[in-house]
Amino acid sequence: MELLKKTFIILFILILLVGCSMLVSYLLPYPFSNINIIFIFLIIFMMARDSGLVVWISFFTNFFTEIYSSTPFGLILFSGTISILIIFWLYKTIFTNRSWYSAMALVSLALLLYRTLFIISLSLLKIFGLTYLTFEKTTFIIFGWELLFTCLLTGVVYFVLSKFFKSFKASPIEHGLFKI
Amino acid sequence: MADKKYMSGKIKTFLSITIVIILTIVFHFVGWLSPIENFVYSFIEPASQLLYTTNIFIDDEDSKLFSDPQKLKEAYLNQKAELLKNKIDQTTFQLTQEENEGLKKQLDFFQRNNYSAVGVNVIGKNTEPTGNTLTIDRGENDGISIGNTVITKAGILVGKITKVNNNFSIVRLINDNQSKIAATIINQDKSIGLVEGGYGISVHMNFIPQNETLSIGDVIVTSGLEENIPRGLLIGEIEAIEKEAYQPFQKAVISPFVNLEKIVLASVIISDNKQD
Repeated sequence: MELLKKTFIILFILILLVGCSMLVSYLLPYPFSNINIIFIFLIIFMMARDSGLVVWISFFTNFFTEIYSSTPFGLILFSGTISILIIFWLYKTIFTNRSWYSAMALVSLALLLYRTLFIISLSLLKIFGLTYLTFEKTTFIIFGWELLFTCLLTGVVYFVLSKFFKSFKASPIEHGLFKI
Repeated sequence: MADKKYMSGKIKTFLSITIVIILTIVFHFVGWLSPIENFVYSFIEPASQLLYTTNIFIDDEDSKLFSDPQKLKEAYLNQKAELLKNKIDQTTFQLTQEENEGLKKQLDFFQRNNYSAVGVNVIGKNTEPTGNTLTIDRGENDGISIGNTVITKAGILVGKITKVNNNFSIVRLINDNQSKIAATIINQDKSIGLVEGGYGISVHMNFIPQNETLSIGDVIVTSGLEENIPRGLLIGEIEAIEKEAYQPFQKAVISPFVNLEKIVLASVIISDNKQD
């Protein structure tokens, strides 16, 4: 019963996330439409729940996003999931502080990793002749906007949440290398 | 020892997740994930369509006129008077009329040109910032395949099909940075070049020889040199010309004939009967 309840909650979160992502992309003007709402949620969820479940939420959300994307299948799924997995490890071992600025640092790192893996995977696909997509200067401008606005919004959201919920208050997690 | 065990645990987790991702990718290409993908599609499609329609409504150019309170007041009063005159639901009527007009133009275009096409509804757009795409409600089951041309109204090019699923497809718009379309300018020289997009912000035509004469307002159409794209589909008109003496080619900035952010109805050309 408990498992069923959890599954429904996760499914609801996934649908809500994809919906929110669409809401931002469809309704906000450029460059605000580049805000990566999925990463904001994943980082905040990770810091609040302290659970590896975030990697699987990332996997399924990226899978849903992938269905509607124009990039070759697997690119977002791989880059998104692996970057969240690495960030989760970094959070557990290095960035253990719970504060708005560490949330900003984590989301920035996550996005940098995500886009780096994205570029590497796409380049590999291109080398093997599996895609014709290329990168131009403007791609990096868009990634820059995405990084800036996602990072700022994460900081604001985390700051607001920390005022209302105890689990967001600055307290280092138990097993970090650098406890504050 | 503990560190070694810790690291091997990490490597195991990493490998497990990578294997799951690889299996998902393989299952997708084999088609085993189609039922799940179609289920997700049926779930997300209504929400996507609703948000897309809201986006079109919010993004309406007319609403930007209301920057001045006086103008807003005048517009409000005019609207009120108009509403009194019209007893029917103006919005629904107008939308139906527009849809009807668009469909008529498309039908007329197909009859004139002898193309086989599928009428489609736009149900969403890209959520990833790396592309400018639309999601349409028809897919492989309706005969659509990758590379098919997508048009709207009386033969105005919108883009090309870039991804096909059973029940829906993704259209790469002409203003997407990855979009490249062979085109001709209707000028004296019948200049040819390549129409390319610029991240949804602009559309431009490159590789136009320096010695050819271009004018603002010249119409640009598809050249027919490309597979799957028939000749003569309207793309846009020249808005600006960028000519540098040291460059071998000149460049034209294009204003598309249709607002690519507001497409609701379109058609996918699935075969050009003239060429058969």
